[in-house]
Amino acid sequence: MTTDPITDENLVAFLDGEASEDLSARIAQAMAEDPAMSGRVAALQVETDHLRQGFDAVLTAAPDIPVPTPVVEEAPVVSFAWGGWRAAAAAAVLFAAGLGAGWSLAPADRSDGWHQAVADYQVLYSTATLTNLQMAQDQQVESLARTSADLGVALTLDQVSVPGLEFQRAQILNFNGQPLAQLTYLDGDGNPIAFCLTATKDDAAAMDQEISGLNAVTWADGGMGFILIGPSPSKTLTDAQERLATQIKI
Amino acid sequence: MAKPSLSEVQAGLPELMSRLWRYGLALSGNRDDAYDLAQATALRALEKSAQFQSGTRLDRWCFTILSSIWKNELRSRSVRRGQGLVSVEDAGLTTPDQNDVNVLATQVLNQMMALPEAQRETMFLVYVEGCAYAEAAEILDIPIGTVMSRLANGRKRLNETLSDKADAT
Repeated sequence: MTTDPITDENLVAFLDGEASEDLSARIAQAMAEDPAMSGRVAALQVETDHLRQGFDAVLTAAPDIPVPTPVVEEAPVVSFAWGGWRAAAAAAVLFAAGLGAGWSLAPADRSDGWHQAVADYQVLYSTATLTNLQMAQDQQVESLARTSADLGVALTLDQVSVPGLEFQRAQILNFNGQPLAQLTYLDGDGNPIAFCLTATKDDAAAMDQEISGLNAVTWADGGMGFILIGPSPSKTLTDAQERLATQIKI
Repeated sequence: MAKPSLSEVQAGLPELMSRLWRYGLALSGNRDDAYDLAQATALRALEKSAQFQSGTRLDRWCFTILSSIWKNELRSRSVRRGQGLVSVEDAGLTTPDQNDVNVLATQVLNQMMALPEAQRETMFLVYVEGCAYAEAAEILDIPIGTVMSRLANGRKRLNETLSDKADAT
């Protein structure tokens, strides 16, 4: 009787309990008769239990990851300049941690990048934070010019003006050694809004999100990542996003 | 009213997120990429929930999505960023309780992360997630024979490196 030679794939299926009864019987017999066959099986032995245990330990170190909310049809449909934006919505999520700090050493540490850092900062803002620092227009222009220079992108007051939002000032911050520009506004109800920009690699379509209890719209275009964030209604932010994305071309 | 498949996906996703993250980590070796992969997978699963067949396994369906997002969209970005795989200790993935079993598990884990991606991913699905060969083949969109040869090669390599290590001590 001639049979096909027993391959390593056959042996693995045998070890994993995926071999047919017939194949299992052939392998068992071959192992009993031929020490070389036992050696081949031994060379494929791995403690798969250890593998599973190792990865189960990894599971306990998983961060708390919220399930994202897809943009639904009844949301204000803003005519973004990017095609196929619904399909690209996922890309915006991917982008969210794009500038993350790489490896994050603390197991429980969530590492969702600069959007989260901006949100954590913005949460501390109140109306008074901005009204107490009210600048004259020439100071506003100057703060914008200085910040633009630090960011390496020329921004004019016209480009960053949004109807219904009152521009307050600009300042340069830092995220992981990269300049991050923060422009602050007050909406008609006195809600503090931040518009932040920092360099990024991948483009991402605009996406509504809620980060740390604040409404936010994030997007990226031409090597620059953007976020608009504040306690304002989502519509205020998506309208502003549309305006800013049109006005600012990197 | 929500369609049955959408509500099923919505209901199942929250408890799946950490396993999606873990699969993402096995693929990318990077916590941030793993986080992005888990989120992108969940988002796409919700958007494509109409394609989910009620009564089938949501975790397997999501693994298929995650694998495809990694290969088609995220892997190149990760490579561009130049982030190589890092050992599990550096990733902060070891448990504080380092008993013998954990030490062994950590060792195996490190060796597995050093395997080529195709072998690593297939071994992860079969040995960690407990997928049958046929399930792994479907998730990875490869023939079942390829699943077996990846497992054979991965097992051989792990066996070699782990016995080298045992010999050295």
